[in-house]
Amino acid sequence: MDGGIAIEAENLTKTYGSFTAISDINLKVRKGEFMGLVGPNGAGKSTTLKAITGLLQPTSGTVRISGIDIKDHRHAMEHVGCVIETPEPYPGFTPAEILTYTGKMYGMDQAEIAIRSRDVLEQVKMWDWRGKTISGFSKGMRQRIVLAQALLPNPEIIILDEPTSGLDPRGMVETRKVLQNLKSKDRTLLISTHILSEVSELCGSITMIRDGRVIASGDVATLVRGSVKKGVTLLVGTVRPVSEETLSSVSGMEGVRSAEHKGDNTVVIEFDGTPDQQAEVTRAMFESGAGVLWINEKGATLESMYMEMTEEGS
Amino acid sequence: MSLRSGIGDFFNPRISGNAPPPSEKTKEPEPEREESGTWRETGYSATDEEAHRDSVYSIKSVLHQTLEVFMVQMKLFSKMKWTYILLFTALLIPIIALLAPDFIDILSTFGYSTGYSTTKIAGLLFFLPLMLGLMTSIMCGTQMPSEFKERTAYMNIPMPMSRASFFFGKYLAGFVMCLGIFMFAYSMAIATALKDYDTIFPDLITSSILLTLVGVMAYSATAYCIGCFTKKGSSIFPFALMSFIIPLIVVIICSQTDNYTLTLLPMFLGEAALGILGASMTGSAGMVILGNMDLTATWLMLLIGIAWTAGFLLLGYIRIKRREM
Ligand SMILES: Nc1ncnc2c1ncn2[C@@H]1O[C@H](COP(=O)(O)OP(=O)(O)OP(=O)(O)O)[C@@H](O)[C@H]1O
Ligand SMILES: [Mg+2]
Repeated sequence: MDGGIAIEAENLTKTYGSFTAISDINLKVRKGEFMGLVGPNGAGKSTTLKAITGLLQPTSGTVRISGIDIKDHRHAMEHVGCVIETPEPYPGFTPAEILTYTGKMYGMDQAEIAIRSRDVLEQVKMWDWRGKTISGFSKGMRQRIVLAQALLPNPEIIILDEPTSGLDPRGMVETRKVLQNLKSKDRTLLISTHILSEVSELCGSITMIRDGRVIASGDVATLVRGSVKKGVTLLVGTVRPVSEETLSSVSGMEGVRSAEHKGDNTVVIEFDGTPDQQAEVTRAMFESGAGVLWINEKGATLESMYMEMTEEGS
Repeated sequence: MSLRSGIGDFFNPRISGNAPPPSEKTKEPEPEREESGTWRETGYSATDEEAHRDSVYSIKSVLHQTLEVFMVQMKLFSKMKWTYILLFTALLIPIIALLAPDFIDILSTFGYSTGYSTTKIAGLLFFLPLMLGLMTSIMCGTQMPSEFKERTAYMNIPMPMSRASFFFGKYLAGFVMCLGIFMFAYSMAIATALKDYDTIFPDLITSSILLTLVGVMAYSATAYCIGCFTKKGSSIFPFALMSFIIPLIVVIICSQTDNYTLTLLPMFLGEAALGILGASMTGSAGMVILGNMDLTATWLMLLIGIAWTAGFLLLGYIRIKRREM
């Protein structure tokens, strides 16, 4: 990670007549960063991604990809693979033909295309279908082909708009795994999705938009923690029962509202302090000698934060 | 590191059988190489390391990319049934001549002279002006709208190419395809005529072919451009416009004003192409003023046709360039 900026959108605004689809969107994705773009239906996620990839002309604002203005589409997109708004491969073609075309567009030679095609088709589990005509494929299968297309040129930046909608559960997990693997290669990912677990599993940072505006942006963990207003509940499972002394000393720690037994080997801690204080509490539990098996935190999830931030009228 | 090629099955997976033995170059002892000589059935031999290396690719020139779009569009045409139907209509020319050898006598009642090979060629190409509109509308009229309707444009446009490549590559393919069919029809007609006559008139035939060529250019540009402006894309509208509406309006204007300058428009290139061969009548709406056309103004007609093509292409290109998705 050299800290350079992979994708930069400045003051993006797009209006359709008098309707403002997105307004003043600012987005910065650093090289190597995985960013999730979330928000309710009609929030403007696809519009943002379309403006970023040059599919539409923003009313105002600029987009730079790897420092190149998107108006120079050829060069800005040279190392970008993307899936925006359910594209379709030519139905009369086979996956092999589609990937050959894509590869040539990105400047790959025949050998590279054949070998990388094998790789990506295998990743999306479509290798056995490489010679079949796409017109007979199901929606999910076509989506896998399109994803393979985006990954084919070994792109440095990947931009995906709801890549897993329409995939079966296994397909979703597999796709996530494919994307996860890109992390080790220091790729940059900007992904819009409605599946929050996808964001928490994949992405380090998140941008939340609503009604065409960015309402929150930053590191996922920090944002989630910052959104906690009502406090969290910590469940601690131990090998042996936690002693009363430990329990009362934990109860007295800063930020702890209560600490009680729940059954023999589980302790419930109601907490509403700072992250540092919470770290102290966990440390105390580990040092209690009861043998901590697991700790479960409830109340601070991406989902709860999402619900809170997108609530009507808030 | 370079990837050595074998004869592979990736590009032709359906004929996959036993992979070929390793070629001479790849015989050096390399344990990671697969025994079949290709890297995991791709047809190219490489080590795992070579295959998975983290390469960065660089796009080729605009021209190169335009040609890629062109090739893909040609491939799309090759999978369309209309291509074959239209090619078959050209094949009908010798078939008709064979089944009805005296058809030229029928045409002579409409003023065709029977003594020349060129009039026979013109007679065989009787429907050329009408086919110009029909064929280009079918091939080029729906090209662009179907890209958007079937959402394949969403796969094409984000790729690192300029929209100009996308637009002109597709147009070029439509033009070449139509031109190919017409040239096929010409060669059929000429071959059929040569059976009965010894003399052909190369100058006249060249002029006629040139007029047709520019006609195909202008008609396909018009149909293609109209397609760029429509959502659904129909081949009927451009066909009606180019083969009936414009010719009929011109016919009315010309006969009202007794000034036939408007027949220099490309929508009369088909009539001119046959007229120059000596046809007195054609199967098209424009035929009624064939006799009033100035057939000596070939170069002017060609120039106007080229300008018309350029104008419509520019219009369509601006539309696609600005198109929001
Ligand atoms: N071409 C258009 N003309 C008019 N309004 C549009 C157009 N495209 C999008 N919009 C409007 O812009 C808003 C944002 O749409 P967008 O597709 O970006 O939402 P989204 O966040 O991707 O939603 P979803 O989660 O449903 O995919 C919507 O209210 C939509 O109606
Ligand atoms: Mg969307």
